[in-house]
Amino acid sequence: MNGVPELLILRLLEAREMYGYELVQAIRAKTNDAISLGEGVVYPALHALEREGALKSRRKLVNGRTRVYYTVTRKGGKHLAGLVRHWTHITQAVGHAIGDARHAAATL
Amino acid sequence: MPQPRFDHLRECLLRAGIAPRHVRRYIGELRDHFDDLVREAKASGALGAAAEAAALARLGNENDLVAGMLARPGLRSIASRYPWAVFGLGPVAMLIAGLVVAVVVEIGVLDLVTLAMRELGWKPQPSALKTFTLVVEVWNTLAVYAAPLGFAALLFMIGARQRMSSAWVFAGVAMVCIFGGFQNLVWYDTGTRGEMMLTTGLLHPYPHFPEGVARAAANLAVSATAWWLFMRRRSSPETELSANAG
Repeated sequence: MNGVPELLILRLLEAREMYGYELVQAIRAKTNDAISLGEGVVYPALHALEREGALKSRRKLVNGRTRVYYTVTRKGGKHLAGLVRHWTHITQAVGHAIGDARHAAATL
Repeated sequence: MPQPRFDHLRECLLRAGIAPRHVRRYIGELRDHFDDLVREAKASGALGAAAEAAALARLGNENDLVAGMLARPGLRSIASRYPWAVFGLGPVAMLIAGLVVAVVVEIGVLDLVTLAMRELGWKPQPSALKTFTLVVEVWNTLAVYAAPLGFAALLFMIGARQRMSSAWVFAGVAMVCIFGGFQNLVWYDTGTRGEMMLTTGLLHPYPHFPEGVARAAANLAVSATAWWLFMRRRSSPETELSANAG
């Protein structure tokens, strides 16, 4: 699961800026609840990405409440592209391995 | 809407060395998130306490919330990552920087006054010169006597805010008090032009050494008293009550 929260966060924030609760709901919706972490755990990832310069935040008053909205920076976009390449490579490799194992089982 | 206070979580994070600004923002975001989760639970039919319990469960348990922050070393404060730099080198750097700033400001003002005298043909009265000398002396006294105590207070505040170990804070405060006691910045009005002398009683030929010992002891006594008063105030029942209410 290393890097998965960062990948999901950057991918979703690339589309539009969101605050933490919104982002968690979007992650749940996009992954069909397959990834169930404590929802509060998203914030350390957001803070770390912001510190690395991959995200930037701004406070916005919405319905009388101040929300911290996050958005992806240009650096974050490059970071996301790297993560996507990495995960595509991993999933393809695992897919091949599973496919080979199935093929071997079928021929036996 | 009643909210969990997250006091214990805040203490855990600060003691683990997470930077106070990240802790403050994290707690604020968790509170907002909790509010949203309670609203969501109530909208789907849960009542009061049940909605809050469901919200807390979704937010994650305290161990996970702490572990999430600790897994990212970049969120730790500089003081917790490099305590030797902040509380070991910091006092010396602060004292040197303090004196340099004091001298640079003084020279800047002197240059301005000299320029004004030359360009505007201003000839100050002897009383004005005396006042100016007095102002310079007061400034030097502040830089020499008050600045070390100010730096000691600053180190103490950094340490207390970030829940640093008392040993580090004590080392930093003691260093700034002792080294600061031996520094000296003197202005001599020679009548035709002023002279400034910057000395430390800790280097050969150890000028004003006994005075330096007395000043260092006085700095330590003042800092220790302030520390004791702060600790006493923090541990008093009224303070705890008001902190819990806030």
